[in-house]
Amino acid sequence: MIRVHAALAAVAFVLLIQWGLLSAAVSGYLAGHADLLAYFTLGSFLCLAAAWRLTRYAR
Amino acid sequence: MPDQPAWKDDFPVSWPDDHLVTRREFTKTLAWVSCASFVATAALTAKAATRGQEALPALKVGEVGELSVGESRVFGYPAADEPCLLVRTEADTFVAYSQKCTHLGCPVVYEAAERRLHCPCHAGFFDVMNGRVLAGPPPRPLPRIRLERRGDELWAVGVTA
Repeated sequence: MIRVHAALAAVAFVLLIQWGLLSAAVSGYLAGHADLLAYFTLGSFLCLAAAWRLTRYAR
Repeated sequence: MPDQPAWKDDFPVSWPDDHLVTRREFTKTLAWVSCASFVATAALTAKAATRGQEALPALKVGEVGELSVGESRVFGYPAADEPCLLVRTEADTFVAYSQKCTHLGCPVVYEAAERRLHCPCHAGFFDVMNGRVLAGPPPRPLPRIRLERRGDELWAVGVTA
């Protein structure tokens, strides 16, 4: 049970990071900093991979 | 004495029929939200990568002799409903920017004495030479209109964010 709750909390935390990255990407897009957006996308992909990985523990 | 409290008669809930969300389902939903966030970020990156490659039409915005030094005029670029400001800062120097303030979109005006662009709505100021924010709430520089001089004519040929 602890493992399930820990996984849930971890996925929620990963989502928060991802929304921060999305927010930064929108700001970067509007400011014309296209070079930074690739890093935000990479970070978002890593968060996605982590979230999918964590769903295995929430069973 | 009844075998169940009165409120259960008033608010009957059929637990077997009620749809309960399991932890697994909820976590999967979070993972899908994560997927959507990634797709949004990637789409933004792709759009930013292709934004600079869009060819904008060249548009004649005026003639050199129409403006005196320190004067400005409004024109529409790339569409007629997108106001831009053409400024003659020196005898042989013209600059042009989008007239929409990057804060909330109010039109900026040129202040020749201070050599800056002023947004009167919330006191935002931009450097007329490069469009950078000098003061106030605007979060980013004004988009600059690329100008070309063709003889005595001034042409807008693109936008630099």
